[in-house]
Amino acid sequence: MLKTIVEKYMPQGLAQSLGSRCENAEEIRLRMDKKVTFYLNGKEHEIEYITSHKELEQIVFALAEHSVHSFQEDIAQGFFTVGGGVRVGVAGKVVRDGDRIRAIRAFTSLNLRMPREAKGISRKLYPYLSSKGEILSTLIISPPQLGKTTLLRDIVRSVSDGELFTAKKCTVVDERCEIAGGMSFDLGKRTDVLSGCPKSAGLSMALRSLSPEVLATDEIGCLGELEAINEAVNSGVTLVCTAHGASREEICERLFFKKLLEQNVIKRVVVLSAKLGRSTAEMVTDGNGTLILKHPISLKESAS
Amino acid sequence: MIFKLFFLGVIVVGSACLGNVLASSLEERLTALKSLANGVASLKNALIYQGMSLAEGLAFASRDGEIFDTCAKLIFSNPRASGGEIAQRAYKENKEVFANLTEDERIFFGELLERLSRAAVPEQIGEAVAIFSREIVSSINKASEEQHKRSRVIRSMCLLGGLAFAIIIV
Repeated sequence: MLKTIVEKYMPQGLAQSLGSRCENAEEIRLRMDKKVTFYLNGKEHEIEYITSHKELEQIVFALAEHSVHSFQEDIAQGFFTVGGGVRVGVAGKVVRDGDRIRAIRAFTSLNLRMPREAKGISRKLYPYLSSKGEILSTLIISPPQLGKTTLLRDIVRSVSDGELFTAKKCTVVDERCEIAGGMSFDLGKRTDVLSGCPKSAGLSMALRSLSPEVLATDEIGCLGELEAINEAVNSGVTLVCTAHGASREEICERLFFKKLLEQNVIKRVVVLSAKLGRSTAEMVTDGNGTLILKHPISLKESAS
Repeated sequence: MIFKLFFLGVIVVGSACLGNVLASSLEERLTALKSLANGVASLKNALIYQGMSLAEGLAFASRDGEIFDTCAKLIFSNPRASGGEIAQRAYKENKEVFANLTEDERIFFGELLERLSRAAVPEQIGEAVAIFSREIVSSINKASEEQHKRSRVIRSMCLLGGLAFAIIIV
């Protein structure tokens, strides 16, 4: 995937410099007038290629397939997602329209993040996230880059295919097009995907039109989403979602999650860390904070 | 006498038909320009209202002319190239589809693709298409006037030639 992107969209000189070294990279960072860096197994590697401002702009236009306008709203939030679920974070000059960010132009930094698929990564968590085989409403908490979307993706696949968990109809509200990666990842045979749809609208839409038994979404945290989540859970739907954060305590200090946990919407909280390498389940608690998994376990080992 | 009149009629009708055929060949350019204008309108709709990428939009507009299909294929295979470069490559690789356009019109089309490929907000697409449409509408008007004048002259010349020929023969 990454090799294709580099060969297809990057300037030839950069593509040659990166070559096959970055094939399994997790992230490539391009900064104006700075050397290109990429991250592999959590370590930073540098290559002898300096990207110019013009090149950065060309890369953005090429990645957006010369349709930057169609990513306008995403870019205004600082990223856009291209084929295969590759998230392109952008930095540059922000164009404002009153209080609203209208666009970002004169790009100075790009951050290409590769999505991963690790089938089976959720296997070890099955006993903690299920009751009589059925998945419980789960919140996955993790700092960036530790595999929360990968874990979410595998839980959805596992539930949808009835692998370990009881098979259920799933709907993924994929606002950033990262979970399904433009349908390039296996999300199971009973999964419907709403791509590019804002979470709050998507959750209500899915509930009305797709009759899901499990709703999955990434990076929740806006107060506006709370109502839609409540509506879904009150309709008997199980919610599986992720959030940025380092610990349960840190998350609980935020109003959104405080309310979410108080309302007893979430039955299980999984905290990921890097203690035993990427994708370590540091702890699993129930909605009230009672520890269920006390010692960290590496989830990678169960991935195929 | 009847035979002579019939023969006269055949020559006159035949020459009038020839005039029509010659005049209709002038319409090709006008048709090509109108198709280009329609295609660009479809492209604008595809980009603004359907959120398509430039390549998808060009493919969508391809029913209005091969020119759009050629450019769409080139963008799909060369995502690094800008819109202007794509228009130039399309002209180099498939001159036939640009046969009915003048050099100025080709340049306008290239500029349109360049502007579209660099548009960051939908308003810029509207403006790029408006600029192109102004030029192409002016070309259509000129071509239409010219075609009208020339077709009248050709038809008259053919008819008169046919009559003269018939009189001489008969």
